[in-house]
Amino acid sequence: MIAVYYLLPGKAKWPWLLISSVAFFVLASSWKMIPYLLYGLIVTYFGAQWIQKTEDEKKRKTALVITIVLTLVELVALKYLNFFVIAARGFGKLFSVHVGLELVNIAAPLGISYYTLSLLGYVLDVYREVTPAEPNFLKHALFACYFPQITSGPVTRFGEMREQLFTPHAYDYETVVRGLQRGAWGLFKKMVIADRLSVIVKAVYLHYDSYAPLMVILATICFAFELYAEFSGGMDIIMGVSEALGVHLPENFNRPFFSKTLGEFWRRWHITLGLWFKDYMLYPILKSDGLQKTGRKLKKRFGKNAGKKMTTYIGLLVLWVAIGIWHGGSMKFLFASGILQWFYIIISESVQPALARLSGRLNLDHEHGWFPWVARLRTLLLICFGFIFICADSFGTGLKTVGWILTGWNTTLFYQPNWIWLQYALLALGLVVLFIADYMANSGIDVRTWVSKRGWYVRWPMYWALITMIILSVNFSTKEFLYAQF
Amino acid sequence: MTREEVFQALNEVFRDNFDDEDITLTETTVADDIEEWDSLEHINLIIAIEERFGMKFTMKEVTGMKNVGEMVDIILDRGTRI
Repeated sequence: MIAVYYLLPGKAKWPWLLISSVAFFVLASSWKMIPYLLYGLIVTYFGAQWIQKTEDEKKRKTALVITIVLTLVELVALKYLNFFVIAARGFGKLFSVHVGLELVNIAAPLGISYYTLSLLGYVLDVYREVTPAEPNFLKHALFACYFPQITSGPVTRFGEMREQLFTPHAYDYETVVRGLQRGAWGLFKKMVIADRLSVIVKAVYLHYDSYAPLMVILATICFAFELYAEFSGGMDIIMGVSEALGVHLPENFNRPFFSKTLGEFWRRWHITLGLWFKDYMLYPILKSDGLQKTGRKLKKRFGKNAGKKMTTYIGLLVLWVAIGIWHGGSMKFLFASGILQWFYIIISESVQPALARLSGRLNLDHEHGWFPWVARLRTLLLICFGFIFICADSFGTGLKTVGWILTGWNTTLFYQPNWIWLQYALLALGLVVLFIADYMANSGIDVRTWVSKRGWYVRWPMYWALITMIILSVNFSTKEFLYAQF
Repeated sequence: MTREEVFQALNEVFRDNFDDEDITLTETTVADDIEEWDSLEHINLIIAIEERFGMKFTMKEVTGMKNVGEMVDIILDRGTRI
């Protein structure tokens, strides 16, 4: 596919990307999903044209709202219907009314949660006059379903991608090789590390109350690294393939586990999602007349500083509820990926000034020595608390798991996977290599450049070791990616 | 309003918003120059500036302004009071 791209003449390059993307979409999901994808593309295409052509401000806003609602209707219907059924039933139970609704089992197209965000962002950018509407429907389509990003992002902006996607890229050996290198690195993360860790996580969480609480905690930490290796590894594969085509996608991860605070973590984990929600949800909410009115009332009652903080916290709550729901229409996601994170952030914001004074008096160095590592450990543990609920099959089970961790100290069983020593060695080696690479990157060293500067007698063994480790992990490979379910 | 006057008034808004009397703005000041100026504070700052100068920034401007100089240009263009 990459070869064909470079063999085609300039004008045919982006159409080839579109054809490949559609083919990928059909192969990865099915022909039946095409109408759903087309619906989103058509609504946003015509919506953007309509907004652009309209002069009157009120009419523009109406056009915007209609477009957004129509686009979201599809996403909500396909992914959140069950949420409403469960909520309706629950509500009914409160009043002893039997709500005769059945749970539905609808398949949703590949990547709908991701490309919907990209398309909505595009429509909003046209409304805000940040980017002109794209007149060519096929180019519009390519932006949304470009195959490297359609499965699990990154969430892209039309303004940034236009140049990348539609300008033909000439063949360049360096570019293709760097891209493939990155892809191989991602494959390594997924197959050598993530797939092995998932064995431990699945086994322990299947019967959490058979294992020692410490084992459950350990399994949760394994999940943190599994998710990181898999998601960022998936990103490496995606970005690598795209890079080989000369198309640069925005980064989604920046060594998140080196974060010293939760706020920092969410600027380094799933970066494009955070940026999307900040620009298209948080800012409009905080700037909205409704919230500002509330803010003025709060400032009058509680004073300027407290009032300002409370207003921000309300805006943040709406934001995090939306992020939680985006991750999944169920209580466990709403809590673990939403409300819990909001709670962490507001606590951190409230306590920050007092902590700063304290560490000033104790002369603590935030940048060097042991302090950063303690802060990182704290971040990891706080994040893992949320992951307990993600690993559990429901919010209720999550609560029970937490209860077990606190009380099940009589059980001392530890899980041991049925592995020969080689499997343990590969996992350990993989984790060490990943840590070293991330530590170097976090310190500002570009790892690929560093490697390419070493002599051939260092580079070639490294490449062969990497490939060998990947090959030795083929049996483990689960073909799915966790984040593709969104 | 003159550019000087706007800078003076803007300085006050910044000092008040960040609770820091040492802030002195220049044409090229950016978010990185002020420690507390993160994305959350940015929007609070925008709202405070809008209230002070009696104007509204567009969303395009909120996310797109490159430095304080650009901010002053917009205020001079659309501000209704100082």
